[in-house]
Parts: sequence; C-alpha cells; structure tokens
Amino acid sequence: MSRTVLIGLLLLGLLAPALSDYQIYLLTLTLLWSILALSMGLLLGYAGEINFGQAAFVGIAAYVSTLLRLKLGWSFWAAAPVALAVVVLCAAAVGSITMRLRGPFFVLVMLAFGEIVRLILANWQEVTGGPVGLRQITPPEPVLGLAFDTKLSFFYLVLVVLALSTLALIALVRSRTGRMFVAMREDETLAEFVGVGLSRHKLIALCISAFIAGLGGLLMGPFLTVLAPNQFSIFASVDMVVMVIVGGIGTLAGPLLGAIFLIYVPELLSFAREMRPIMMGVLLIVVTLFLPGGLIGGLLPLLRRLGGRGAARKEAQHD
Amino acid sequence: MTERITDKGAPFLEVQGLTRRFHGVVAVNEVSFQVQRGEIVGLIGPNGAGKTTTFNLISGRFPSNAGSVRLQGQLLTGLRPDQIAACGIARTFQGARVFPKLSVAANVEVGAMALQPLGLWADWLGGAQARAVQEQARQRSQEVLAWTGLAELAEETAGSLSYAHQSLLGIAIALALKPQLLLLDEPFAGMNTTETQRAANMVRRIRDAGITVVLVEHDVPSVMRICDRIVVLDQGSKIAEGTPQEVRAHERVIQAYLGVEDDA
Repeated sequence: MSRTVLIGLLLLGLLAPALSDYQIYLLTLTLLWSILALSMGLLLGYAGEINFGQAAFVGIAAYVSTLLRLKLGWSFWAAAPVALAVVVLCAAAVGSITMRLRGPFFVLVMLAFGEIVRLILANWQEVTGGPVGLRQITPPEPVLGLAFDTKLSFFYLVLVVLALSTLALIALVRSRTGRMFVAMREDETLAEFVGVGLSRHKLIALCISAFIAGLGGLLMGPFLTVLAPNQFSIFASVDMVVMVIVGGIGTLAGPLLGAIFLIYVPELLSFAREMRPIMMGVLLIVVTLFLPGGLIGGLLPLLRRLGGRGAARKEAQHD
Repeated sequence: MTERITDKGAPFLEVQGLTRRFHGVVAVNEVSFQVQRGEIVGLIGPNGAGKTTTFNLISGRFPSNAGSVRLQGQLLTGLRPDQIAACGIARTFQGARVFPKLSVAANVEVGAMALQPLGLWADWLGGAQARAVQEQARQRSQEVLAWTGLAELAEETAGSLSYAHQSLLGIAIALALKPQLLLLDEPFAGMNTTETQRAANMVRRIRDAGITVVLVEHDVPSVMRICDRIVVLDQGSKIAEGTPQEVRAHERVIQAYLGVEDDA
C-alpha cells in the first residue's frame, strides 16, 4: 500500500507539466494538506493520541520561518531548520508535561496549547501582524540551481517533501519504535509492563508528528502568500483528524486519501465553501458507521483482488 | 547484565513491610515474604485479601505507601513498570491482556523487542542492529509460541482467540521478555479442568526452565498441587506462610479461608 502511494506520487509528478495552473494549485493544496494529515496520522493512527492542537505546530513553523524572512531578511532555506527546531522544542516542552498524564488530560492540554498559540499570533500585533497576519510572502529562494517561483516548481517542492515524509514514516512505523507505538495504542498498560517506556515513546511520537506538521507549515506561507491566525485554529486540527479517520486510521496511505477526499474532491466539484463543514460531518458519520477502516479499508480488498497477492494482505496485518 | 548488581547473599525476591492504602482502606498491610530462586510460590486468600494489589505493588503499577521490594538485593520501590520489567520481572493480568488487533506472533514479538537496547536513530534508519533486533524477536516469538503450544495460532488475530488461549498468550508475551521472575495473576481463571491441568503443567515447565514463579490464584486445589510454598493473605495482612501441608493445617487459614473448602 505504501509503495502504491509512492508510485501514485511519482505518476502525479510526471503528469503535472500537462496540467492547468488551476489543477496545479489544487493539487499543491491537496498535497500540503496531505503532509498535515500524515502528521496527524502518525499520532492518532499509530500512537493512539488525538491532538486538537496540531495546527499550532503548523502555525509556529509557518510564522517563525516567515518572520525570519520578512523581518530579518533570511532566506527560506536558512529559516526552515530554525523554524523546525522551534516546533520540535515546543512539542518536546508541552509533551514532556502532558505525556505523563493519562486519559483526557493530553487532549485538553493540547487543545489549550493550540488556542494559546493562536491567541498569541492574533494579539502580538507588533510581531505577527495580529488578525491581519503576514502578507506578500515570496516563494522560496532558488537553491542548488532550482527555482521555485512558478506554480509548477513549487508543486514539485511540496511533492518531494510529502514523498520524503511518507518514506521516513514508512521506515518509522516498521521500526521497533513504530511497533511499540502500536502496542501502546492497543493496550497501554500491557505495553508498559512488557517494557515500553510510555512517556518516552509518546514524546517521540509527538515530536516527530510536530516535525512533519512543521514541514507543512514551512510551505504554507510561500504557497498562500499570506498567513493569518485563523488558519491555525482548532478547526484546522479537526480537519486533519477527519482526514485521518475518513482515509483510514492506522495506515499511512489513509491520511493522504483523506486529504484528497476532503480538499481535492470538494474543490473540483466546486462545492460552495460553506457546504464543506456539513459535508465533513456527514462523511465522518458515514465512514465511522459503514467503513470503520476508512476509505483505505474499503479499498484494500479491491487492491488485493487487482493482483496485490500477499502484499496487500501483509500490509493489512501490519496496520 | 543483572549479575553486576546481584548481591549473592540477598534473597531472590524480598518483600518487606509492603503497605498500600486506598482512601483510608488498607488494601495491603505490612506484608513481608521472601521467594527463593527456582520456587513456585502461591499467593492465596479470600476475595479482597490484597493479592492482586500486592502484585501491582511489586510490578510497579502503583506506588506503595510504605515498605520495599528487592530483587536480588536491588531496590525496585519507586521504579516505573517498564523499568521493573527491565530488572527481570514480567507479569500477566487478570482477564488476559493481549494486544487485540495484532497477530499472535506480533504480540509476542512486542514482548521480545521492547527491552532490547537500540537507539531511536539506529532503529529508524533500519541498519544492521535494528534488523537484528527484529529478527531476534521473530525467532524468540517462534520459540515461545512453540513452547506454549500456540505455534499453530501464530497468524491469528489475538483478539479472536478463545479466553484460554488469550490467557496463554499473556503468559507467552511475558516469557518473551526472558524474565527471571514471572508474576501470574489468576492464570487458571476461566479455564476448565483440562485447560487448568495443562496450564499448571506449563507453570512447572516455566520453573524448570529457570524462571521463578509467583502466582495469585483462586483455584486452591491447583495452587496446593503446584506450589512449593504458599503465602496466605486475609484483609490485607499475611496470616500464614509455608508449604501446602503447613498452610492447610494452619488454624487461622482454616478459619479465614479454607474452612469452607473441605476438600482442599
């Protein structure tokens, strides 16, 4: 399944030059959200922690990198690692407090964290520009002979970031650490008594998830050219959660499928913007009732029949 | 690894004055006992005697209010469950805990892998060391499953097993840790006579493989049959300790518990 995703991304990359500007815009948006959904997919689907403050990690990366560029004149490539470091440090700080707590405390503290970050972004006028936010964000500067000033070239940048993130997470979920995440998700108490350090593993999951979310955040500013606090509210986190659940929880392909279904499809069908929340709610109910494995869970048997032989079956067990 | 900290003169497991109160109710009251290496020791007592609480205190599920637990002289009090597991103590749970959505083999692999030394980056990058840890866990899992008689069920989903098999899988997961001490919480609960007999034989085989066993059990005849020594708790306190014969003849035990079980 994971291989299918990478092949799909490769095909998309080959196909892209033939597509219209609007299609490229839409696909870039979809892939950007795929990165965010992927970050939630690791945390929710593997470590079993739901995080309604995830958008704050995206926002921190977006604002820190953009502010370094706008205020201090740094290049995108110099600002990116700093912004990512800040995000991971924030995740480590808030995680080391909350991950000791059991039950709903993590959810509540992260919810509060998300709101605090949003409020800081909205109210620290001198630095963040307040509710209006930051404007005229330019594409990343050329690097290694590559320019990113066209829609197509930026699309490729997002595609590469998504592909690398997916590859890294495939390796992670197959590693011992990834399998310990799943053990924790399945039975936290049993996992702890066979020797899985719960706080440590949850902290690792949160930091990696925040890093991936931060990657998405870095690309957000240059893509939209504007940043505003409302983009990083709890609703953005909920969107990510819905993408994971609709796409298929406990898989890496699921979040990507969820992002396609919740960003690309509605935009393509020109649904009125205000219809989206309703559609998402209905979709969530339908999926949880009739497709507990998400869209990917519905697709897997199909793929298996299409000649995946043992591969798809093995994948299903892994998930 | 544990040899370094081993105090040869110290008892294998030493529980000293262990006390735990829940909202003023004393669940375990100054319980002390020792276990020698290679013994099977039973912890029995009426409902609410504090047997499982004692287990939970030894394995670190919650902290004790007073007292100490030492394994080969090493103080375990205050350690987290995963740290205590790393010291060589594995346990099972009442009502058979397993990782329900994972295959039987994967369940045991978790137990076999969790404590292996392996850094995050080496693990993530999947180098030789990481592959070795996973490969060893696969082998260990096969060994343990063959040993516990679960080999044919290796590819089944753990959640779909019968209760008796899940209970057995719980033991298999614990054995995968290669513990020195195994704590079994009601290993025979919900089993019929044949299954109990088979499980009791397995407990003996576990001991014969060099693992010391302490078990909590309601099925007194089985406990009497397989245990070398028995510790009897009543209302949180230890009221007797000794061989099955000694305990059976003990006046307070008869009063508190065994009096109602004529055949025991």
